[in-house]
Amino acid sequence: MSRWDDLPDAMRGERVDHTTLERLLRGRTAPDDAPPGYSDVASVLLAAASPPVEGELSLEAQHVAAARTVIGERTAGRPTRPRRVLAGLMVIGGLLAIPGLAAANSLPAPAQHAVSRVFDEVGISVPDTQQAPATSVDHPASTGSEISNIATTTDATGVAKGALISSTASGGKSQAGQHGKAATAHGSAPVPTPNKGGTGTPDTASGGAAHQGTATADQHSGGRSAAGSGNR
Amino acid sequence: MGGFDEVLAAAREGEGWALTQLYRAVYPRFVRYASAVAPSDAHDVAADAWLDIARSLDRFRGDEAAFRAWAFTIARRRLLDLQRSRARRRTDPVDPGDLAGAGGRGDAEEDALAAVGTGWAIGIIASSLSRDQAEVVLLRVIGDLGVDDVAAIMGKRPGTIRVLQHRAVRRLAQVLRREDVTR
Repeated sequence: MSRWDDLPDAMRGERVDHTTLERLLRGRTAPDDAPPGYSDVASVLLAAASPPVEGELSLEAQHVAAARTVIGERTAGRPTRPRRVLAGLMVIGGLLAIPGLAAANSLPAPAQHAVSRVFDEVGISVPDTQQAPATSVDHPASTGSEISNIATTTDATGVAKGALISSTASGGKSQAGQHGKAATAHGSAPVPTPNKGGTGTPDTASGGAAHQGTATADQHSGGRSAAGSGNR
Repeated sequence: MGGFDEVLAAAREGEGWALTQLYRAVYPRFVRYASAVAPSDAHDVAADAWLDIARSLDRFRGDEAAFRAWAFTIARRRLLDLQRSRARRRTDPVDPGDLAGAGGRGDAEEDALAAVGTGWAIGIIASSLSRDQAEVVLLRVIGDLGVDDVAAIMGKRPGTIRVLQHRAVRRLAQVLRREDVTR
């Protein structure tokens, strides 16, 4: 048995050309304008493509409201355009301000340290608060009383005692007492002898010049002057 | 739909007037398209498709014709989902004889007549043609879509769509001629 499309045109109705077919399928052919045998087809297609009637839109208000709700939920977490612009400006401003503040050493210590490290990577020197010696030294001695205790209780003396205290205070970094040697009690260091001022004779102190004044005073006083007479 | 870009932009922001325009452009078409396959679920399918469109408006790019094609792609997906979920449940096909008798020949109000006429027409298409033929005709006529759009929606080549639509129209002509003879 032949398929429908295998039947002769006369048995199936007239063929329609491409343009006519397109007009029919777009619902633009009135039944009276349709080719022979296609007026009912035109009626069906026109009816199918007819504009919506009131009954088909009876749920419009509810469906539009539901769509607004859906869109509202979707956009609720989305920043508005002015907020997005403001956020962008704040980010740009922050990026521009950070180098200036870092150069002025005005950032909080952790931020200053972080920025300093970043800038160091690109060869720009920025102050780093965590490298300041006074604040960053990790003092090994836990308390001063520990040092005091060592100083008063150790059996060590002299250089050994000093080295022990120094080493404890520096956490072992001190090398006191490890180089050189202590001076002996009677060493040969060229320390000048203290002046014996007042202990020698005037003659000794003046290198013998003290006699001159005595002699002169004696001559001018006719032997009555006693200057320097008791100093011999 | 004048100023489609403006309507679309406003609809994306949830403007009621814009959503109403988009709704009127697609929802009745969805109902007619779905009613050919699942008459009793046509409004549910159309409503689901409409909400899918509302959720996805931000992702759509294109003009009004592209919007219709995109919308029917979503509606068809919803229809297929329904058919899968109710695979064991028989759809309730429309008896073309019943619809034909009511098609625009009564004394009811104009809208009611038009609605009945539309139902009659869709019933004729659904019951007279193969599934593919009926879908091509419905997408072309109800969706106002071109051959290429229909091919993309149905996942077929444009040449296949042209063959299907030629055969569909000839088949419709034959069926309606028979009905005239037997009436």
